[in-house]
Amino acid sequence: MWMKSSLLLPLLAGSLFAQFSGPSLGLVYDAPNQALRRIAGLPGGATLSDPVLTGIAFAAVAPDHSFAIVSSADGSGYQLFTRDGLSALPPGLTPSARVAFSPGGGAAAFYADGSASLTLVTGLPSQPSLQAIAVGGAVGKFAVNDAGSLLVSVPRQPAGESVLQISPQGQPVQVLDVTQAAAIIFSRDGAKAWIADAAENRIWSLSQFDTSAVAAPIASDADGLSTPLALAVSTDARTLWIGNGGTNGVITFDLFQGTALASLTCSCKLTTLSPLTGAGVFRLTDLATDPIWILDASQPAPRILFIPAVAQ
Amino acid sequence: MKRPPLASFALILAAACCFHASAQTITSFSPSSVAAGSPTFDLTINGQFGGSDFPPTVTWSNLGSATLNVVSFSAVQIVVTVPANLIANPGTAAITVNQPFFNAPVTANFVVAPPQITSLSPTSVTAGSPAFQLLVNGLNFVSGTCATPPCPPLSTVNWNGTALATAQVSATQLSATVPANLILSPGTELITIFGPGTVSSNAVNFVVTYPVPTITSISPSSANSGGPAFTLTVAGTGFFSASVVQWNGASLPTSLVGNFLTAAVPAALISQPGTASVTVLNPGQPSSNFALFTIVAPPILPVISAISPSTTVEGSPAFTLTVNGSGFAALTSVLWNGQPLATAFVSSAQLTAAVPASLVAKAATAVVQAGNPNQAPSNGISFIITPTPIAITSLSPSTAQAGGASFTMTVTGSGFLPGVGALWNGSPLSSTYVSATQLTATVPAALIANTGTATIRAANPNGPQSNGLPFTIVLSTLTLTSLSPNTIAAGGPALSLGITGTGFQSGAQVLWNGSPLATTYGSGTQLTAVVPANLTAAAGNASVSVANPDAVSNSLTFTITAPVFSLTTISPNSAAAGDPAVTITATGTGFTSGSVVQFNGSALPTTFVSATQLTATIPANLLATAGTATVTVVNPNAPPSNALTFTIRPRSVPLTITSLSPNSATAGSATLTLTVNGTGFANDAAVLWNSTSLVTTFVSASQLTVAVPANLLAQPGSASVSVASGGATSNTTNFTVALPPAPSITLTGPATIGPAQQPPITFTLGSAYPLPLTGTVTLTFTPDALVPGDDPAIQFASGGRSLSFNVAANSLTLPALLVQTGTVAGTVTLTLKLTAVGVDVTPPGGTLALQIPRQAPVIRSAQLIRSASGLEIDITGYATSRDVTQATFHFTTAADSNLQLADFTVPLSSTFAAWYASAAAAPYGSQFTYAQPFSIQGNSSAITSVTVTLTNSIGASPPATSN
Repeated sequence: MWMKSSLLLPLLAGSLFAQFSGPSLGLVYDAPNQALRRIAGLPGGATLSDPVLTGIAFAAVAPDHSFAIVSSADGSGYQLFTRDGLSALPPGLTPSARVAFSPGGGAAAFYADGSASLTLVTGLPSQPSLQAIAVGGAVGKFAVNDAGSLLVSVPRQPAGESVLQISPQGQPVQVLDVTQAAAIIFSRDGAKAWIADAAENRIWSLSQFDTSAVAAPIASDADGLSTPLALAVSTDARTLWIGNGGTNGVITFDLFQGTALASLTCSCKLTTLSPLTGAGVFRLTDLATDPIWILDASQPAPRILFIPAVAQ
Repeated sequence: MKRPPLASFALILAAACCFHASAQTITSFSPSSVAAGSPTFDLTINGQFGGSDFPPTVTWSNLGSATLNVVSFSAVQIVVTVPANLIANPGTAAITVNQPFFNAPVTANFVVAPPQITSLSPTSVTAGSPAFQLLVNGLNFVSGTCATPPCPPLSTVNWNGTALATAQVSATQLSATVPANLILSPGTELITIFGPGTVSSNAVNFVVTYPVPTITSISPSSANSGGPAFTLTVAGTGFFSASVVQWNGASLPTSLVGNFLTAAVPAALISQPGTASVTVLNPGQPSSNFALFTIVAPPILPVISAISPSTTVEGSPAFTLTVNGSGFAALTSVLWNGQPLATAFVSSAQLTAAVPASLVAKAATAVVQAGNPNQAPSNGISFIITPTPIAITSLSPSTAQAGGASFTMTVTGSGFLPGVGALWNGSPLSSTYVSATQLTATVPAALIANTGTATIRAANPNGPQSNGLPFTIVLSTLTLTSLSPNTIAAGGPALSLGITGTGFQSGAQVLWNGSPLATTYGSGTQLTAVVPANLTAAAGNASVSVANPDAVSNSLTFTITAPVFSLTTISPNSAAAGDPAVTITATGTGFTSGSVVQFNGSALPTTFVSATQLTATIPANLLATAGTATVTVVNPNAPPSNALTFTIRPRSVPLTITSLSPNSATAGSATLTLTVNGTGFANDAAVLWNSTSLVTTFVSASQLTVAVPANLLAQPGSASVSVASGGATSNTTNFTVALPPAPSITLTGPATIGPAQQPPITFTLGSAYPLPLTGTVTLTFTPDALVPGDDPAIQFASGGRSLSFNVAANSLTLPALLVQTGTVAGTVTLTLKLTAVGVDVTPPGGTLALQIPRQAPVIRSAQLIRSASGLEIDITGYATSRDVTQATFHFTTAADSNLQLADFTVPLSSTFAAWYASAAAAPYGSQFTYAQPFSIQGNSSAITSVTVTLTNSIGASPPATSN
């Protein structure tokens, strides 16, 4: 049998060329000080850096923390903040918007409360372009994937909410009805999505967006759900983390097995599950005057840890 | 093909002359056929021919005719040039070779083939798709490339006879661009190949299929059951004239109107409440998503037929209204002028509602209806609120004497409402509503100046008038002729006043400046009245008259003269120096309510008892020193009275504190009772606490007790205690307030703790402390690393290395101590300091040490980064000793690759030492991200993973693998 064989010779580039730096968990917006800070160090040994950017009234950090969308406190509009500095985003973004990034950070959706449309920004961060997406009414939660497809929750009469799927060129398609959509996320490849219904204590999975979306409930209060308000999913779409507002805890849910694996409780008021750098590390609270609380699920034994507050 | 050299030519000639000629044959052509429309080409004819010395003649016939130009020839092969014009059209040509050396020419057929389509890719596409590339596979395509026009004609793909932009891939494949506008609608299209020239291939079908339709909305989305047939409009995408709207899977008559579908829904489909699934079906495709259509039961509207009661009188109290009718439900409300009343559901035919009194306060007509939420109300029935009937039955008084004074008349009757008024001959009197049966009205004197009769009526606001009653004004006979006495000195006691006159009636009252006096009826000419002392307390005149029940007399003047003013005695008239305040009684004449007793010219607090007696209080401070004082009385606007002497005798016992019991307390104590022992205490004695008087109980001349409030014992220190009495102050004695003993405290945690940890710390108070506590816990760090350095990550959760807190008095609540240990070997020490009122009360055990040991390196993550030139491994971790001596890398390859060198050891002592000594490392303790690049000779993608281990002076890390 003929078999291909190649001979490899690794050559050490030399320890002289080894590079050192300090670990970082990414960026975080410091609202009280209108600043962007870096989280220096590893979980359990992290600190908040001095501000890397000040005078900003808003910041949304990309999932991989390689850039952030900020708005200056002087009202001069949205800008991109990268390691190369600040650059302007195309005009047309409504001030005071809520922002959702796609899992890969290539797209983002902006929605200003009271508006009847979202603004989809694609080509991030190098070639941003804007597109208005009409929704026709108030928007609750929303998420976007890297292809620019949106999932949007809107009020349903007489009660509850509907989740719409909107592709950049298409019409909104109703894919799911829930009582209170508290969180919507896409998988890394954008092919799946999960929705938390805080009122019903239920997690829905959505798939097959290219045909007729299929919705299926995957977790309920029997799995420990208590007012779920935040979701995060692993890159391989195997593990779902569910932030419980009712218990201020995080449930680790195995999507392959369909079972809850573990639950941790935070001595904090859990508000988010925002990814930090490093697989399985999430921010549970925003930065204010108290410490930031994080979930470190990157190691075999997950922990909930704090990052010390900025000393006053 | 080349001609043979001359030597060979001679050899072949010799052979030719020695062999018998054999028959010519054509065995094959190369190419064996040619595509119609191809350009000029060279055709090779293989076979057996006469020889190579004499050029053959090759002719083309049956598909045009021509003698072909011979390019070369031999005994077994002839090459000729076939011009393009001969192969412009498909067919079969006869090629004849005639060799002069042979007698018999040979002929064979050569095919000029038309283009032929064998397959398409794709074979179908969904209508509405974007432009796409259609690959046409087949035979005999004329292909080629042309950089510079004019270009030779080539095969072109046709779409229903229309040429598409075609790229010639090969003789067996073409690629054509099908624009989006050609596939807007479903259908079957013919694909052919045309050209060059007029040649055309067979036709092959290409199918444009229907898309799966999508419904975005339907209108309407609901209807009442039992309703009529209606037209349903469906919005969405992928609709065509062949699309059919389906109702629970059954097709409806459907039309395409613009971008919408309209479908006729017969009444039979909505006869019952429920839901229906609306879908759209395109031919050959699965159904669209569904939209839900809701069929709801029509609401039953209420109807009212009667109400009870249907009328009431204005001003009536709240009552219950019964409404009869049909179609009532639990949520049906009775409406009063459109506003809902508190309604009770009795049955579908009856409701009851509470009508508050406020709704029937005024005469009016109200509309009563029944209504369900979000529905039109029922028919209405009027409810009549009639005006209140009003009548009067008596007047009091009903007569008056002409020329009399203004008086108040009481009118009694029924049906009076607030705002009711009395009418005097139709003119309103100033009236007051008393009750539904009584009112009072003021009759001014002008209305009874003359004798006569007036008609009195009552009228409610905006209401009718009552019946009338007569009021008679009669000639006056009442006369007052004398008073006895008619004068008195001011300030005297109550007076019995005799009244003489005519016309006095039983019940007559003597009026003093218009106010009635207690009167005793003696006869028609004699009355007696009591004048209270306060009415004659001051000099002046009073008007006295007599009021019969029906008239008032003339008036006479009563004169009150100024009193005779003198002070005759004071009692007591002496006190001892240091005595408490003394109340004296002054006796004399001419005292008034404004009289004031003065002590050495200073006014004393004075109480008027009578015109002959006053009481006044001499405060203790005026009695502090032995001596004498003058006492006088002063009336307003008059000179002082004569003076009397008050004697202050010398003090007999000195004012002294000899001891306190207790003489100390613990700060934060509750209120305590302090006993003060000493001499010279009087019942006015007051204990002074730092010069502030406390509430003191006089026990005896040698003992006082006092309640010292807790707030005076809150702070540690010393207080001076003294006694004040009779204007004198005793010596002072100190009272000590001491701090309570320090509270016990528990501050424990693990003696040894790993790096990057946030360990639990137990921090409790053993017992509550009676004073507020202020505390500070401070973190200090003593590194034990080989490359010493601080670790800024060692902090409290609140940030920094100092945590301040307060503990309320008597509280056990302490803050949680959340500490981050960092990643550097050493000792983290927590030091507690507690203070109370600024005094250090830190108990023993206020220190906790946490040891972070030196450990082998820890790798948190390893990441393999591939680049064009090789690999880079980024390793993130920490080493509490702040040293790493080496890294070992093990490379793993795919199964079909080999590594010349699989393991590397990289010495790192100096490299890491430099990193840990750098300013860049300072914020990270012992943490690092170490990036080690490798260049790879060969295909680096064959390396599937790298396993790395870090080693330091303590040991080696667990290996970490990155793919």
